Amino acid sequence: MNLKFPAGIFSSCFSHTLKFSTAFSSFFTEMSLSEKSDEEISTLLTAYDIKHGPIVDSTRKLYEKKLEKAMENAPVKASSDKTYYREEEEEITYITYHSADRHEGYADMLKRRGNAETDEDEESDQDTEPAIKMTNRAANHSAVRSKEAVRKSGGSMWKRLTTVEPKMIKTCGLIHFRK
Amino acid sequence: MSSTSQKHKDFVAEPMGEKTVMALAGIGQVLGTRLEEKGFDKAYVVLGQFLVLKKDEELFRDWLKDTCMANSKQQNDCFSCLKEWCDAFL
Repeated sequence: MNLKFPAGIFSSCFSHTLKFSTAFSSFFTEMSLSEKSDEEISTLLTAYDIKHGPIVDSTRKLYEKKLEKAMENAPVKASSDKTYYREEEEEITYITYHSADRHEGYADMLKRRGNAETDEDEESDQDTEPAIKMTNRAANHSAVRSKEAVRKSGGSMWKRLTTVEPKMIKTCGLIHFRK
Repeated sequence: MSSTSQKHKDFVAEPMGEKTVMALAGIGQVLGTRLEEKGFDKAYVVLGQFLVLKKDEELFRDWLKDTCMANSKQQNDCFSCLKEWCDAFL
């Protein structure tokens, strides 16, 4: 299936996301663990989903060791990235509906359905904005996921769309994935 | 429970009070001295460390290993001893 989206957007957005991730991880590894404050260690432990007790003199070294091990295994906090992408996955259905005014109500519905937890995406309220803008915004967040949708032949994506309203799909000219 | 020693049974049978660190199962003369040198001179101080680690097995065993070079069996004995004591008295 051919993707009508310019491939460039995906690669540039993806690399942008990657850079963000690596920057994120390097922020944490910049200082050595022993230089960090107790609260920072505590925050890091939580970020890696490590249950921990108080960071005091006698426990600090143990937690630093644990963090080092965790950092080696997963330098970027993968799970939070995954969550991020997954949320975005809902948003892509919204994009495809976006071309005409009558789709507005639908896009709203999809948006509400998919993005209950993503308050940061509230800006996407303007349903009447041109398709390209919306598309880019979502693509910026997770080009990878868009690719995935394509790779699966938009399978799962399609399931979602078809349950919503098959007719709309036919009429909406923006559905690139179909091809 | 089949492998708990007499020491273990004695320790978990009553409140530890002022018992020395060598009363703990798994902690003999050598390890006891090492712990005392580090300031852990009473069983309740080791209990304190155990509790501040939130009774986490892995962390407590690591701590024992780092502090007094306890081997795996000794770590195990000490951990189960303290854990059982806590279950009974804490």
